[in-house]
Amino acid sequence: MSRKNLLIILIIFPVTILNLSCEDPHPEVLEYLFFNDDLALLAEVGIGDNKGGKISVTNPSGGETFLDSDTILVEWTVNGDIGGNSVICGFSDNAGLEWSFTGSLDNNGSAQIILPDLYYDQTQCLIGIWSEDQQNSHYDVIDSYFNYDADSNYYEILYPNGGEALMMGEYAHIVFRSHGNVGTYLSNLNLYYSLFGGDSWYELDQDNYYSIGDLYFLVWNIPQLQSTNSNCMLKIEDRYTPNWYGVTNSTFTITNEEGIFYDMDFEETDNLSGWSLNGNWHISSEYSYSGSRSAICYGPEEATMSFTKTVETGGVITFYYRGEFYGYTNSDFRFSVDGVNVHTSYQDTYGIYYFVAYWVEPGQHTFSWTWDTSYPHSSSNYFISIDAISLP
Amino acid sequence: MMRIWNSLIVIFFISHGLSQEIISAVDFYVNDNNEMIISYSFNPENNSEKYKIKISVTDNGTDWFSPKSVEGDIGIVKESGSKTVTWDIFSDLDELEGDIVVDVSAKLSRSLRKILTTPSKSKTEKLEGLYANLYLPFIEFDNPTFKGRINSGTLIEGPKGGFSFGIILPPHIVDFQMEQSNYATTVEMPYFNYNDGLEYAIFDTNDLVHKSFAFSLSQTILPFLPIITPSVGVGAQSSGLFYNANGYPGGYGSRNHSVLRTSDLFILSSLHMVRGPIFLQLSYKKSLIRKMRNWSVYQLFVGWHIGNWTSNILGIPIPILGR
Repeated sequence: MSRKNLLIILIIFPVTILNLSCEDPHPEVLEYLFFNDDLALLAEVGIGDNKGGKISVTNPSGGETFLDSDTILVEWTVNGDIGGNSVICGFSDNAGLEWSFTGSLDNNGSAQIILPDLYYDQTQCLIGIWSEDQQNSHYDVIDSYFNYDADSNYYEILYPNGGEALMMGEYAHIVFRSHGNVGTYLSNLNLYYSLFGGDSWYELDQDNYYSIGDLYFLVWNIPQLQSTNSNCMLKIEDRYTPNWYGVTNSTFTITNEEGIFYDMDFEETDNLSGWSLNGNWHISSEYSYSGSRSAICYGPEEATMSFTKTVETGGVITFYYRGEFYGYTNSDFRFSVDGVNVHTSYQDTYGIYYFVAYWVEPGQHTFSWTWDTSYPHSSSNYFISIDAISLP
Repeated sequence: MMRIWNSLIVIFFISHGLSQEIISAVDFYVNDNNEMIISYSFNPENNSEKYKIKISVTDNGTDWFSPKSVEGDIGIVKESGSKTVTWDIFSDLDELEGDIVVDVSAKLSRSLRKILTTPSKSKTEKLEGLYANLYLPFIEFDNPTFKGRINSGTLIEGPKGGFSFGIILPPHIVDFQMEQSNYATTVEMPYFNYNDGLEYAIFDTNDLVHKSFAFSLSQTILPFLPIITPSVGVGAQSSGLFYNANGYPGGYGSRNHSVLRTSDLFILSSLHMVRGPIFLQLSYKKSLIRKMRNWSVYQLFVGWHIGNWTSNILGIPIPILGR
């Protein structure tokens, strides 16, 4: 034997021995992770599998696209004894990796199956029929995958959603609703804004996040821009399923031009028709958020300012308030919609105006701002000021 | 009357111009059969090297010719010792008269492969010896799934390192390597628990590792390059991916470990540089046979070279270097 041949044998021998000498446990886990992202690798019962040869699923046949929670017709034939008169139907949304099963079904060749509510769009869905009594001996899985369209998963951005004007440097409460299985924890969200009508997106920094009922609120510190931009949009995206997202319906404006965007700014030019200012509520030029005037109330008496409006399509009411309570916790300011309190403040705002936003459904609504104090003091130093109201 | 003049031939090495007496003690006489018996002493630098021996004769000091009817130690000659060449004078000439001068010359005769692979003596002295290295391996699997997961950040690389040792006997290099590259996932990935049930977990760098042991033989090439010495070679690697199953021991959720072999034969190319005790090396290995699990590795070595410099400093011979 030549030296070269000996050398080749010396090299190949250890590799061959090491590769053939042991049976590796669960290589499919690492095969999937590093080399083949087909989940079918990990499936014990997967696409096209048939055990026993007596059950044959004829419908669906694969290639179809079903929607979230669809009811579908599953048909099968049985040729011979499958160990009983009942079957179960299995559904997998991950190439057979995991199966969920129906209860017992009569072995009569067909059944209406309600597909589950899935979190993701899926392209490797399978249906199979198992003998209920001999599940390991008789089953059949369809020969190709069908698709699952979970397109009901999205974010509905309610505010701002087109046409609004937001003030640079101020705080806006972005309001959205989740649909389907999108994530709603803040850690599930990717938040973006665009200054170019959605052509490019910047990450949005939020200051606070809270929910009321089925509405979610993101407090956004509106960026300082060089000039007014009317091509702004928002986008909320599910971090783990980026094709689940929501975008504002049309562009809104970020501006530094004050006082021209509010439905009620309590200025001399504003029409107070329909507004009810009871008790000590009055218009004053002493304090204001925009323009030169605001609605103010103080004194020991409870008093309410209100306005009723029919909202056509649903929307957000926003306003700014400034409260001077000087730490007397027995004073408060409440904002309510149709008599239901939706915002309460006991805290002094320390000389600045705070922003409030609230989503209202279509219909007639009464909006009320109430000053309430049991502290027997009539000083105008303790007051609530409401200004810059935008109505839905 | 014939006058004898013995010539000493100087051989120039290609790369560094070192000289050494290869031919010495040239002598000749004419026997009764009118044959010239030429003798010389052959002292090659390296006994494994072949030399082309050429004889030239002149009888007037000006016109030289090469005898044709010669036999003995002429043409390609190797191994040192006294050599003899017999020339049948009158098969080539009608007469030979005057001051006869015989010139014996030797020229190193190397195949193209040797020219491209055998370093000069000085370079050999620098390179030859033992070495031990620490190195950084940068392994990549030539697979779209691996690349996709790396690019998307779902699979990330963790700590890595290797140790190698070997011997350089130019033009041959024998090398042994052991290395480890850790990985982690940033999203949950499926695994099997001890009940063979499928579960999901984020794998950290303690869980996921690629380990290898490799053996290779290389040959130096392009010996005329300054400072660096390239080499090419082949080898065998025993390696695998290991999911180490550091889950909760026993009970629900505990993890079953996984192994996937990536062993393969490989080709190897390297650049070596030795400066005293410092050994630097850059290597590229590529697996030969694997398809789905085909891999390639860049390796950056820094290590310790025990060679002639050590012998010189310590004043003791290193047995393995005796050639």
